[in-house]
Amino acid sequence: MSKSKKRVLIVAGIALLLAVTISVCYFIFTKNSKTDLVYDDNATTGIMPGTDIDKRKEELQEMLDRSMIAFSINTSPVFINGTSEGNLLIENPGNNAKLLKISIQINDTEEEVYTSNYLKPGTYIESAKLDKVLEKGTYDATAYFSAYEEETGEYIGKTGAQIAITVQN
Amino acid sequence: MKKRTIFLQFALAASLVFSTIASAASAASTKDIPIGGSGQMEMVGTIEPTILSVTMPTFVPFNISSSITYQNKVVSPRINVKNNSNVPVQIDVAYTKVNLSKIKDAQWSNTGTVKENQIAIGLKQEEIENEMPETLAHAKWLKANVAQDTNVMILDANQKGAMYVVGTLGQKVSENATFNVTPTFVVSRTSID
Repeated sequence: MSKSKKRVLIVAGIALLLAVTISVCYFIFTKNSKTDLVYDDNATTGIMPGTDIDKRKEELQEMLDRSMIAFSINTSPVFINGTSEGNLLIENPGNNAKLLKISIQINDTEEEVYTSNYLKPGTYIESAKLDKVLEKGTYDATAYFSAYEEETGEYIGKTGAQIAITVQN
Repeated sequence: MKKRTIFLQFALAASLVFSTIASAASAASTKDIPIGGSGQMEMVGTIEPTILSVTMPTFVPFNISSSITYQNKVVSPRINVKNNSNVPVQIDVAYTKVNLSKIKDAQWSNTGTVKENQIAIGLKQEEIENEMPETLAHAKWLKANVAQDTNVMILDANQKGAMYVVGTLGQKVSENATFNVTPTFVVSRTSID
């Protein structure tokens, strides 16, 4: 083997070794930083004495305002039969800036009879079929609206609305 | 004189003829349109669905500290709720998920009265605009991890309202930890007068 070939191999070997070392270090340190968070026992939860309560209230207000959602739903959707579409009239208004996902549960049985996919702001569902076939009758139910950050899809929280589902036949 | 008599007779005859025609026309009109008749007109009634439309929070952050000198030990944001519907609505708490596992030996109080190791959190409607409550009077207390049906607010059509988180804690509750309280609000057409 010529000298130049040996030199190339040595340089390549060193480069490979460096790459492997950097990769291993990267995975070790990033893993540690995400999972092995060590909280300081000396930290106290609560409001630090001397902290301006009004300022803290403003910070909390900002957090709460970010979680506000607007929604609309028909309080008494009607389905001609258990497999037909009903007028749910669910709206995620354009000023929401959040994704909404809707789940409807029958109050008595807690059975989930409808789930939507994500609704973008400024969209609505006029009518839809239920996921479960219901017998003829009227059912008290709760429609839960779960809110998610529009950019990241991060869950924010949920709220509900009472409705009465009528299946006519 | 004779001419004058003929003219008068002609005028009288003409007036009689015209008055008879007018009378006949009037009678004919009354006969053609019977009082109270609707003929073939079809009336179609449509029931408009009642839409519930509200703006409310999905997450309520708060701080609690025994260092606050009032009876209410919570710093709370103003929880604004707006009824955008044309019907009155009520806001109830249906369930509250409580996790105290990070606070050693702490317990929850469902009533608002706390022993030395207990925490109680509730909601109270705004009494003075933009001011957090200092007392716990009239607070609605959150029950931990059980279904509840506690009304916290009633709003007329297109009305706004506000409430605050309130609470207290016993002397032996460690403040060196966090805990989670997650109430689920449910809105409905009001059945309360």
